[in-house]
Amino acid sequence: MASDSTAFDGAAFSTRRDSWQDRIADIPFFGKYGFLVLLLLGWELLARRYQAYVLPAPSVIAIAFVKDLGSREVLYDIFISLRRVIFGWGAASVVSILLGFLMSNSRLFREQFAYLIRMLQPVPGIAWIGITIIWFGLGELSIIGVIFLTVLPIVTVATYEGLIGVDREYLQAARTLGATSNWSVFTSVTLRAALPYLLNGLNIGFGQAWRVLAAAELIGATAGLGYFMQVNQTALRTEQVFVVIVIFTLLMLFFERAVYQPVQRKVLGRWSRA
Amino acid sequence: MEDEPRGTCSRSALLRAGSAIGFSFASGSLVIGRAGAAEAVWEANVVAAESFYHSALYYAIDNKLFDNAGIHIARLQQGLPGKDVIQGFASGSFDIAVTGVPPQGVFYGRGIPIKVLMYLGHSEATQVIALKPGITKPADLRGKVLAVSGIGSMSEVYSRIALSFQGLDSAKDTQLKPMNQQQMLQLASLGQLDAIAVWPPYTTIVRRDNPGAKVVVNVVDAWRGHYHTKRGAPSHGVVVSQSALAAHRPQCKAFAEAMLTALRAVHNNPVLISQLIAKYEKVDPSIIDASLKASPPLFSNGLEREDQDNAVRVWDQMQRMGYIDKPVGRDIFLDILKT
Repeated sequence: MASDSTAFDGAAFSTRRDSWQDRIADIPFFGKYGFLVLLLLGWELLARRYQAYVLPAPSVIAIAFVKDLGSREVLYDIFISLRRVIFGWGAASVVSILLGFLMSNSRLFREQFAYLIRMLQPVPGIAWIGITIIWFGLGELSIIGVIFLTVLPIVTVATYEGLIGVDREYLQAARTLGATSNWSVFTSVTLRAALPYLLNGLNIGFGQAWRVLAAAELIGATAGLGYFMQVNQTALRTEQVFVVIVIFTLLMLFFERAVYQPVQRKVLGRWSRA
Repeated sequence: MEDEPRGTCSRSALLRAGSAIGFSFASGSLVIGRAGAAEAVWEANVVAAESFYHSALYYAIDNKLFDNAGIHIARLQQGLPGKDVIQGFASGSFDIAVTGVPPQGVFYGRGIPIKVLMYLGHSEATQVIALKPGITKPADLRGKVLAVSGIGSMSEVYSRIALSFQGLDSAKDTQLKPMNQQQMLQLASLGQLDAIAVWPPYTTIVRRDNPGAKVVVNVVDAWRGHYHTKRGAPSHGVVVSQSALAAHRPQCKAFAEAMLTALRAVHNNPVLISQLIAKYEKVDPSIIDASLKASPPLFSNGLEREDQDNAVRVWDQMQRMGYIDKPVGRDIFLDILKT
């Protein structure tokens, strides 16, 4: 197995050690990226049969990607999209965590908000676009509003379920071991036990924020990756559409590797030891 | 226009099969089934924008001009936004597109083998209408919110060209907001837009709903003034895919002939245009009538030289503005009516 820690690591998926599959998986680089390399090679060859608007070759996409990253306009689009996601997701996360906390601790809040959150859960983010434009006008607020409304139920449910799912034996043990106030039980046990759910909810919410962002930026936006994608779709510049997909993927990977996983390791590691 | 490259026959067939299924499911297209149709009849798939000029298409359908010419419109997809028309046509889902001049340039620029057989109208009446007081001339639009029906759409490209004649680059100097017509009208009534680039009959609706609205740029006038032409920029054209042309050339010619007959029938006939637009585009007849009086459509008569010249000017401007990557040659035109 590769050294990087991912959700798919571990022997649970392997039925027999030292099988031919394991031997291939142990080959440096190829064991991890072999399929990707073959896929790109096959794609490159296949793309030679088609025009770029149908299937642009990976090499063409790579050239467009490098060129775009050198363009101030594209960097600005990335910045604008990132800012919208951070604001929308950040605001939704703060409100959701607070709401999840209140719902888990107060029957009144639970009764008042549980059904509302359940109602919001299945609403596709794209459904909010026309509504937020009317509410907030044509501007940043409407796009951030779409992200906010999409992320809100995801993180709220994750927080709430994490907080109420704490094993009662842990709570009793904490009281037996000297935690006298509700606050100390909450900080020493409940919050720590709920943290994996919460972090997972934040991570899923972040992914959803990017998904809905692209749709929200199709209407009424003058900048951003969704807008950039729309312009290039209209001009049939398919390679540029792929560039946006690559940028989305890289941004998500960056968040996953540079933010989410370190935070997860640090927080959970420290608190589980505690 | 380059011929279809080797290997594209199988691609076309594959794309056609796949995308036809996709478009049928994904859209509310009008699928006109005809069991047991004779093989000699060409089952044509047509995608069309919406405008007064399309009354000719509706007339031809209603009066069975296509059927009489051995063409059965198997599917008529109306009212798609420009982006979807472009993608749908590029995917091979459609044989014929009755679409604006800008998408034609995009097709050519990206190497999609097509021919333009004719234009329906010669002076597209797009207008930039100011909705807020204080905007009386193009320069006043600087920094203002200008709604357009999609980047690369005819209204956006034509208004951008007309504004550029006044020294204004709407892509940089204004806040361009792409949206569909309904959203435009809704947001205009909510006071969220400073200006709007629309075409008849929406010009009439906007001015009716916003009594203070003022036309800042009339594209036809700006065009004529700049290029010293009698005609403005062409409206929509009949575009046929190279594969359809290769397989059904006589029917393509018959299609153009039917359209020419229809153009002559609707020419100077506002009552007929009104009936057809009300039927096919579901627009309030009183709006259509008012709009026809204010901006009567100026129909073309086939593939006329001046329309070709003006279309080439549009594409040159589009290339200069970065919409298309290479100059569009006159080989894009095929005057099939004269062949």
